[in-house]
Amino acid sequence: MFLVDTNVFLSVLLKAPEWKTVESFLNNNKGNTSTSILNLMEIVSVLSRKYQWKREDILDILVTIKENSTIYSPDEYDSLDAYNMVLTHFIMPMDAQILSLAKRKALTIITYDHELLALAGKYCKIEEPS
Amino acid sequence: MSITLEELRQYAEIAGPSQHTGNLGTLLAKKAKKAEGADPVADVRELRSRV
Repeated sequence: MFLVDTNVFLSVLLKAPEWKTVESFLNNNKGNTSTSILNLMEIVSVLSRKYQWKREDILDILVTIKENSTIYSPDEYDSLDAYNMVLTHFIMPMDAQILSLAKRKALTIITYDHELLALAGKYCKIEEPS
Repeated sequence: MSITLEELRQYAEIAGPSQHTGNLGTLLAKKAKKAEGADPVADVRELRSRV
C-alpha cells in the first residue's frame, strides 16, 4: 500500500509539470493508495491560502480522495515515534508524523520531496511516482 | 479561507471504508486548476517549515 504525500496530490491538482506521471500512478494503483488526515489538512491549507480555491472546490477534492483511497490518522504511538525521529534527524515535525505512520502501517511513501526521499529505507520505503 | 476539523471529519469521513472504485488520477485531473509556475514541493515544504 502506498501513502501518497501532499505534494503528489497537488502536482495533479495544479497541473504541475509532472502531473501526467501522477495521474497514471494513481490510476495504475487503484485500491492500493492511501494518505493521512495530515496530508488532507495540508491540501486544504495550500489550495485555500496560496491558490485561493473556493471552499466547495476544496471539499469536492477531499471527497474524491476519500472515496478512492484509504485515509489514515496518526495515533499517540506515532507521535511518540515521530518525536524520536525529530530528535534523531532534526527533521520537520510533519515529516516525522508521516514517516511514523508509514512505518507502523508498512506503507511506501510516494513523494517528490527530496528531504523525505533522503530518508528512504530508514523507517519505510520512500519513492517518487513512476 | 479556513476549514475546521469538524468539517474535515464530516467530508473526509476518516473512519469509514473507502470504495476505491474510481480512477483517482483521472478524477483529480478533471477537477484540477492549472497554476502557472506551481511548485507543490516548495509549497508544502514552506508549510511544514512554519513551526
